Amino acid sequence: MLLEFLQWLGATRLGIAVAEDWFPKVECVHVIALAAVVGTIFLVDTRLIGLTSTRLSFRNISSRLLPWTWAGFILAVITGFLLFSSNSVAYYENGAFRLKLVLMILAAVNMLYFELVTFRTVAAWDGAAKPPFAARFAGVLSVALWCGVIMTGRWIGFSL
Amino acid sequence: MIASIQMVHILCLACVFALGLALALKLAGGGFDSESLDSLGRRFVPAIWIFVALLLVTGSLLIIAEPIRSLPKPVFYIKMALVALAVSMTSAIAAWARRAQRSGATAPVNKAVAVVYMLVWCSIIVAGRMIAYY
Repeated sequence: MLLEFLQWLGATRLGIAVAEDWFPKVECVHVIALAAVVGTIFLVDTRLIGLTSTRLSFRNISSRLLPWTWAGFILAVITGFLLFSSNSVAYYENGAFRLKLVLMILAAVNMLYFELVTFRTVAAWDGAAKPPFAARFAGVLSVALWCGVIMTGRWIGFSL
Repeated sequence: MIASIQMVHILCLACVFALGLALALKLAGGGFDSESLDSLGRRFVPAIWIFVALLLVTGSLLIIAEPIRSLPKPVFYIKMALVALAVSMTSAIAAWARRAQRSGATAPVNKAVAVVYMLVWCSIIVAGRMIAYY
């Protein structure tokens, strides 16, 4: 069922157009989008860990940068889907691609837990140079997971 | 080995891009309200230099490993010219902010320069990616 869908996706006019013509252009936009996503996440995370911008409150940093993270993420998902459609069966069967998706899901779970649990007490530590352990742990985990996303993403190109 | 170097190259690129974005946002007059452009520049511009240096080191290693992949291609030289432009613009923005701070003037706000600055960083990424194709 899934394999049939992937075969159909690769044979659509969109999949063929990306494979034959658009791939380099879409890839450029994908790299710009991921630079925006991962770079802004690193800036927010290093504040959360207490390594950078410690004189600014956490919310001062996050409120300014996270809208750009989300904008970049939406663009990365759209361009990522287009790249996937160009050779969907091969991507689906690729180990690095699967690991990248797993790491992205783990990063999303980490972010959700932070938003729903740790961030609830932000008023108590917003201006603190060194936020509580749970916040710092979420920051370290996020940096590690997004490094993994970049590494596995690059590895797809070498292993496809 | 090439794959590992490329991974570090992309991670450094993401860091430079976000630091540049923060600088551009402040220059455009948005956000980081409790901090001046000069103060932000003093913290972020040295970090930009560190990541640019790492990009040059990893980029040089990639060229040494596969000189044919980049050196004969015009797009590689376009990328290098854009890197020089981005470095010059970063220095100019930092110097501009310092002068304004010293003279007691309000922080400079220039949305056009901020947009051009980010377009230069985006163009570097595009040129870098194009090296693989043209």
